[in-house]
Amino acid sequence: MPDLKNASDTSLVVAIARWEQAALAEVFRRHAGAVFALAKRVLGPGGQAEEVVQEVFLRLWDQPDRFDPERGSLRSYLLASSHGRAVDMLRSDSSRRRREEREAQFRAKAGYDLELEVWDLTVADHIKAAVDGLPAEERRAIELAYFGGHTYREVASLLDQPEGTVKSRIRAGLRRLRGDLAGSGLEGA
Amino acid sequence: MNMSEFLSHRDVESLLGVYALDAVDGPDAEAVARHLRTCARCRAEVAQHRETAALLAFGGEEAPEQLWDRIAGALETASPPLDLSRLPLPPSRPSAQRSPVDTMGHPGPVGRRNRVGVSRRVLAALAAAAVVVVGILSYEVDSLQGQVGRNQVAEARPSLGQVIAAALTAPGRQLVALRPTAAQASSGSGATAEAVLLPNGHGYVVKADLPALPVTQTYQLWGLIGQQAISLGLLGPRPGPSSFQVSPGVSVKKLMVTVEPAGGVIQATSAPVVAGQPART
Repeated sequence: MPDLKNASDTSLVVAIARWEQAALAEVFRRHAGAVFALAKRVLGPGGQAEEVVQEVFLRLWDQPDRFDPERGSLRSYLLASSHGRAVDMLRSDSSRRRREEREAQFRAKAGYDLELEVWDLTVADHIKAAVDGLPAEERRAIELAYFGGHTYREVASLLDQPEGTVKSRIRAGLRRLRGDLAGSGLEGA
Repeated sequence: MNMSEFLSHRDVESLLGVYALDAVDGPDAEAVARHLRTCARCRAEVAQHRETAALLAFGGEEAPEQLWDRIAGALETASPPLDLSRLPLPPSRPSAQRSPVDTMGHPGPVGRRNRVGVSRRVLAALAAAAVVVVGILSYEVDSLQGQVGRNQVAEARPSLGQVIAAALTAPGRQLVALRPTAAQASSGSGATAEAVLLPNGHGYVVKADLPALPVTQTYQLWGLIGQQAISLGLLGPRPGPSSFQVSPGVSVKKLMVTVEPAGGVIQATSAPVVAGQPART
């Protein structure tokens, strides 16, 4: 059996397409933690985050051809899958009440330093530095959209800003982060 | 009329950042998705934003252990390629998205679990040739009665039971009786397993009477080839019939099963619980 621990992500997906369960297990070993953490960050603690992880990996098993190595890393593919599913769950009716509670809490905490709450210690130092280097308005908009699972219209409402401003700040913030992180020559795990 | 259908390229560009973060819904999201189908530049920008977002996600957390076992238990697996003309197939139905039975030299699976139900009619047809197999698989049929929907698609594929039945009577096949090793036998474990090896390198665990393991562990199958013990795959904590593969023509001197941490290991961590040598009877 080939040494899976040293296999590239792409070759693991090829092995998954040949029904090799051990390859899926190795992908799980490498990436399930991040997939789970992101789902939990969006959905809060509870069984829904675990459901998301299960769905993401079963989807990879059933449809490995949906991963296109030319488009990006396997990690970002799995995280996009996790994020999309988590946001869908969040926006479903059954979660609406909890969501409205969170939004109410947010409004009540005007001036609260979001940075303290959001960026977990497990984010690598250079990433944390890049995020800290963003203009506060870009950082807040990205945090509300990505981790809060809000649509940009909701972010605009929460921050009391025009929708166009929110859209361009998020786009600019992502570009700035990409530039900072590419410049440091470091890539995500 | 839905104005979103007429989003200009600039309008779409302004949405690319929020789209990549799943922060667009409704007609706007559909409009962006439509645009991305034909615009490589915008697709590339969305992919870049998603890579950036992926870096923000936390890497340090571990997913709960039992989560992998739930996933492993839910996997639909394929039977390896075999001479289908010799098998009594159930009536054909619309096949699953990807046909697993590619007989054009498709490499075989390693250490699979098969959770596909076997119809009672097919089981009866196999009864004369494979009483042992029927006995093992019937419990799986019973436990799968509630999953008829999924099995209707899966039944289009030959089942592992059919494949094993054919292997047991194939010319040149070698049977392997795996029994407790000397050290284990003294503890009276009563563990046994039966396997079969074919000349083309395909192998099957036909039966595995091994004590169930906690979810943190798995049984792992090894073949002694030359001087090395090569992993042939994982049998899971509650092993049953499964398939494995060695290169055709390679001589397997011995099959062994060890207990390992869930997910398997590159090198065995302990002595086998059962082992056996292939015999041509």
